[in-house]
Amino acid sequence: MVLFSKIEETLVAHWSFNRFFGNEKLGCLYDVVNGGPHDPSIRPNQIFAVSLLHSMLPLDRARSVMKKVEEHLLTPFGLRSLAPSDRQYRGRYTGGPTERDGAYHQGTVWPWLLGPFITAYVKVNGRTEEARRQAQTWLSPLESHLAEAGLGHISEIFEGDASHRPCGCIAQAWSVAEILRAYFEDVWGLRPNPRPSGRPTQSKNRAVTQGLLRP
Amino acid sequence: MIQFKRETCGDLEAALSREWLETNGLGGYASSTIIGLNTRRLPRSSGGRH
Repeated sequence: MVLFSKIEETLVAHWSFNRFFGNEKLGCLYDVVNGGPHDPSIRPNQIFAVSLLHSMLPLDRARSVMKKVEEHLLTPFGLRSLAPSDRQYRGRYTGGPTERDGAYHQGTVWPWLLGPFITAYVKVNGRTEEARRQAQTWLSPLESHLAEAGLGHISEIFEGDASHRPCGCIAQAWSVAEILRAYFEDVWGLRPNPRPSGRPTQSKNRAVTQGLLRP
Repeated sequence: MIQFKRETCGDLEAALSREWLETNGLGGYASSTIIGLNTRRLPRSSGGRH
């Protein structure tokens, strides 16, 4: 009886999510549903509805979201924060701090979002070898970026318009982390090894750090 | 290893847009451009802007 109730709740949650967030006209998801008019802006937030382990979306809608994101947001260095077709789109990250902050979420490319995009792509394409090869192709432009801006690092953001000039911090941890995770998990199909015990283990680097703190 | 030749090092704009960063894991760092011309007076932070 409890199991039946859980299944029922799950089905209702799936139905509700798709009913409220599904944008049938554009074939993707609304960005914001909050009582007022639904926000149809094409933004990368919807990629997480596909990439997360437990997705609310049926496969055909997931593929439709992927197609829309690829068409409007994908660049060689990450996903734009807003589609260029939007009236509020800003393709250049220039000017003073106020002007730059105004562009930050209005078209600027975020490299870390390539991580969930690639996870979602490999997932909806059945984790085939072909899908993994395509994922690697999408990640490869970032290799050339390692020799510009912060050498050996990945920048925080890139301009939304070509040639996608690198901007923001020259070495952004979340950019590096998500690209590495996508290579490990989605291109090479590796998963982190679970620790043998529940207690966190002290890493070698941590030990070195503590040694430096107590010379 | 990343290497740059005369066409990059001799082009001021290209050289200044390539920077090295060495960190010590404790919050300390050293940083400059590939031609040793320092372009930053203060560390730039983007904390809290996401």
